[in-house]
Amino acid sequence: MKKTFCSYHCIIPPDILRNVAQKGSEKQQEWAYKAIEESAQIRGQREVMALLGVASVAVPAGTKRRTIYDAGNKTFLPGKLVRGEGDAKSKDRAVNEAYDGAGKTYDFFLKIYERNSIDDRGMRLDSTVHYDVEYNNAFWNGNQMVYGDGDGQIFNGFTGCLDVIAHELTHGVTQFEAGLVYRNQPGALNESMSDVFGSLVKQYAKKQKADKADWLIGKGLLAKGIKGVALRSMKDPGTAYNDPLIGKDPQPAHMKDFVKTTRDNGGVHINSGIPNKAFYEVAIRIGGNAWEKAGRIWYITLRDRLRTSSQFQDCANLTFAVAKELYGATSTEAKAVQDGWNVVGIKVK
Amino acid sequence: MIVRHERSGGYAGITVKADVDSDTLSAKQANELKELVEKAFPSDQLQKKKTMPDQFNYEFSIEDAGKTQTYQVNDQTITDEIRALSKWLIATAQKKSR
Repeated sequence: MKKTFCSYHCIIPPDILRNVAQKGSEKQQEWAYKAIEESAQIRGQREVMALLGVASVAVPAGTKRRTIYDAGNKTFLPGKLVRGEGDAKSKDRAVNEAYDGAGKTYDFFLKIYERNSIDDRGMRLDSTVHYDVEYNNAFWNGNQMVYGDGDGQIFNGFTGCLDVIAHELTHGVTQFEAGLVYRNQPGALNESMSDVFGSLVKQYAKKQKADKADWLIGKGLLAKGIKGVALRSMKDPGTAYNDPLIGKDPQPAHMKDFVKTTRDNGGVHINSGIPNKAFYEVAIRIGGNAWEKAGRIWYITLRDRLRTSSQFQDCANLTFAVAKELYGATSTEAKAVQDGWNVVGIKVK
Repeated sequence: MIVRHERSGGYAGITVKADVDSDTLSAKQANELKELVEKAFPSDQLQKKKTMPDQFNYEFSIEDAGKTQTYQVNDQTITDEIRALSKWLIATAQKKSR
């Protein structure tokens, strides 16, 4: 069966969608809202939605709406609805993990950064579990999260890790804000933002200070027998795994080791090690809860400053500028940002 | 026929390679491969859509009778037939390397 996420939604004229979004029943509004989102997938969704006058369907902050679907080991999305907001626990562990993880991520962004869901307009959080057979992956398809069960040989189920769930949701945040293109350095920044907030959601849930956190991404995801502690280490990029079957963690921790490749959209999961390490260094220098200051600097940079084609150097300069604005030009926080980027070989300007 | 397959990207960013030469296969397996390839790529008309975050990229290079054809898809554009070919190639290449 062919997957057509967007085809029938995209052909509907915007003025009809706008009418439905404003005057339809709750269910129709939901549909129209989603269709508008889908038809403006690449960049500037908020401007498009503002243009269409969809403001009236924005959901008040604090209204968490989660929907979990089951693909039944097939690949048609979203699949069968199995748990909605407020519904009783499922017997299926993956369903509950996806539901709870999405909730923790939503709560984190609302409580810490006053953000109302992925789009800051109360967007419903849709997740599909049991995608495909033994699918060794999880992804964000532009509208929703999708989780595989893993093959049990290399990977366990992808809903088992809170940082994986928060990573996928953060891809949604990035899509609605900076819109970083998913290739080369902007793509690696996109990936790094997902790891940063993925890790922060986990640290917040565990009430861990920066120096007590493990800074690992995907801990517990590697199946028994695979030699490795996680998929990535923000503290020591390149050291997360080293195994005969899956190879060695290829992440660099410094610009001198930047990897040029056409694979993986230009190494987006590889070179993300560099900005990941920079964030870790900043958070450690500032100390305390990483989400409070380092996280806020990164969040505001992602929300207001980064653009679709921003490079590592831009991100360094912008986080430095934001730190100076928030905490003062001669603050320890601004100095920490400068020093943190220095460690990975980037001088802020 | 030589089929070279690479699956890169994904949340883990781990590249999986699977190269299979039908000359090294049993007649039954070689036939299976031929059928899977024919079903996967009946024409060159593949959808073009950007890879969304953490999706896999799938690359195929098929060398047959002196000609090489390459195909690229991602989790957004893959069909069930191409998925079946990818799974078969990865499973077969893994078995052969053991």
